[in-house]
Formats: sequence, structure tokens, C-alpha cells
Amino acid sequence: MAKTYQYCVAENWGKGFIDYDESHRITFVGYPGNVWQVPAYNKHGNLWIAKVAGTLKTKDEAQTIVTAVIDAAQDAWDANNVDGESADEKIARLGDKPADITLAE
Amino acid sequence: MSEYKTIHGVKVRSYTTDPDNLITGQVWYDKTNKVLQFQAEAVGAWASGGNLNTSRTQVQGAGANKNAALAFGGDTPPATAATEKYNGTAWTNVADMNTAKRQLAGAGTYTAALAFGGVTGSSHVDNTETWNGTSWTEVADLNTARSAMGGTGATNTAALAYGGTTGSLTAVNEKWNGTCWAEVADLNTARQYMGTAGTNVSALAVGGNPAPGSAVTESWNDTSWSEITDMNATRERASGFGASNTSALVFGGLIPGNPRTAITEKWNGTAWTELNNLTTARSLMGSTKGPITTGLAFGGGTPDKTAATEEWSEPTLVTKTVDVD
Repeated sequence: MAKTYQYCVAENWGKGFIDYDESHRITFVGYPGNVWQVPAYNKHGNLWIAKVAGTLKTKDEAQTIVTAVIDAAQDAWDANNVDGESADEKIARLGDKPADITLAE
Repeated sequence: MSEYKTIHGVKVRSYTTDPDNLITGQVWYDKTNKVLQFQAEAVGAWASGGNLNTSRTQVQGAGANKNAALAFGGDTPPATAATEKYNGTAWTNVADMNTAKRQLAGAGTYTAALAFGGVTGSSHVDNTETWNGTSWTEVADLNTARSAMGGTGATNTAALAYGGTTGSLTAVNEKWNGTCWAEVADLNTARQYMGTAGTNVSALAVGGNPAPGSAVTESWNDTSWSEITDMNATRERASGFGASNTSALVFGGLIPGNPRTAITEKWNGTAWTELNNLTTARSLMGSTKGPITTGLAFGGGTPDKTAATEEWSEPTLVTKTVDVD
């Protein structure tokens, strides 16, 4: 099955990382771990990856990076406790426990 | 095969520079760049802006547009008093707030802002500070100490503080006149972590918590709150901006089950329409307080705290180049 998306790792340096023209042309999805999803077999996606010097990753490689960041965030959430605090109070203080993220093919 | 002239009654004209007084649908040949161009109705989109100097979530913001904004407070953790000013390209550190706090609310512009409520340590606070473009000054407290409330207002002398939590969800609504807070009509539904937009006299409260999130939208007309059309995506911890209760943009947040979302929705006073998503899904970010044509989303959690800024722009018309590759 032809893939719909391609993945790369690139650090968002700020202004100009994704410009309006690029944002109008293709859909970007940023994930934890500086993982970016852009359309596969797409000239504008390829040009953007080249512009940001993105390191291409397979979907499985990208998933491993994202999962590692989420696992660390979940572990940090589990370990962050205050004596006498209820579950609801913990959620009020920290927000909900980070959820798993599954990348699309 | 049909020709352009047969369909439209005129030929495609050639220009060396873009023609004046463009109208939607106009097509022309750009002789200089040797490309066909047309004038399309614009759809708003997010683009990368300069990163905050301090990564944080639960941050608040002020500012009328994407080129003039203020970010203050939030959670690094711990809670921070850090304030930064944005000029359309980069954030610059300026004077800190007097009290570090997270889950606060904000209103105003980058030269006249208001920061109110929030959490210091584990206590909800009634603290209010006003920004004059240079420094923060503590002024009269809220009547009800709380955090995660909605905050709207175009200046630091006219703001609204609604909902939030005092430890329990509250529907309390207070109005700031530049000197003191006065209690006015409550929200219909007590809640926290709403998306917000508008001013002290015309505002929206969108979605929010109690768990697992809500799509309920209420509209403030300077007298009372009325429930109006729900937004499409149920969520909490979203952010928003907009000039009034008939023009708003709400983006990001958490959807039930807790995935962070990038969904952006626009309210036109009648209906919600989904537009281009944020490039990075996140919750509890800061935002500007101006009209829906131009604004910022900054910071928040992805779930890790982030410094990323996204600039929203919704020009009325845009010139497109026909791509023949």
C-alpha cells in the first residue's frame, strides 16, 4: 500500500521554519521529539524537508521517537506526587496524564 | 477544448507587475516571472513564529495582532513571572510580573495588559497586575480567588474574568473597570479551561472542563450569558482570540481521551467552521486578544512544555501561482 505520509526530524528554529506559503500548500503535523509529518510523494513536502535539513525517518522510526517522549512524560507524570493529594487534585495541578500517540502510515 | 475567452468573455491579460484592484477569481499572466497567476479567496493558516525565550505551559498573553504581543506567567515548572514581548519576529525578555503564577488569565495589548488570578504554589490567587508597556504594578484584587478562568478585554482598563476553579468549578463572572472588579452575571455552566475571545462587553466562553471536555459555547452581551451553537470539536484547555462574540477563532486543547489537538475553528456569529490546523497539537497555550485576521498561539504542552510560536494570518485575498509541475 502506498504510504500517505512521510516523516522527518527537524528542530523548529522559529520564524520561517514553516512559512505561510508552505502552510497553505501542504498540511504539517508536528509531534513530540521534533518529528514532523508531511504528505508523501509531494514536491512541496520534499522541498520543505530539504529547507529545514530534516532527517528522514520511516514511520516506525518516527513512532519510536514519539513514543519515547510520551513514555518519559507519562513516567514524569506518574512520579510527580504531593502527599495527601487526591487524583482529581493531581489532575488539576498537572493536567491529565499524557496520552499515547499513534502515527499514521 | 474550451478557451478561457469562450468561458469568461475576455482573454487572459499579461502584466509585468501585479495588476491593481485585483478581484476574486481574476487570472493574469506574469510576464516577468513567466507564470500564470490568479486571485483567490484566502483561507487562514498558521506559520512558525519566533520561539519564546522561556518554554512554558499555562502561559497567558495579550496583544492586538501577530506583530505586537505579550506573554506572561505560566509553568516551567515551577510557576514563572517571566514576561516577553513579541515584535513579529522575535520574543524579548522584559520586566517580570511581581508574582509568579500559572493558570492565570490575561487581557489587553502589549503596551497595556492585565494579568489576573492563577495559581501560586498550590493556592488559587485573586492577584491582579497591570502592565504599562514597561513594568507590572499590582492593583485591586479579584473578588473571588481562582485559576483557569476565561479572560477577555481589549485594554488594561476594561476586562472580564469568568469561570475557572476555586478548588471547585465556578461560574462567577467579574468585570474590571480599571480600578476595581465588580461581580456581574454568572456563566450558565460552571467550568474551567475554556477557549475565550472578545472584550469585556462582548465575549465567548467555549468548551472547557468538567471532564471529559465540552463543546458548549456561551455568549456574553454585557448583561448576561446565553448558550449558543456548540463548536464542532469537544475539548478543553483550548485557546482563542477574536474581537467580539460574533467573531472568534478557537484552537488546540485536549479532546476526550486526552489526545492534544491542533483543530482550529472559526465562529462567525452563526456557525463554527473548521479551518487549517495548528502545525503542532498542544494545550494550555497563550494567545493574543485581537481580531481573527491576525494573532498568535505560543507555548503550551505537547505534552512537554514548548517555546514554539505560531502566527495566524487570514488575509482577505491571496495571489496564487498556478503550479504546472
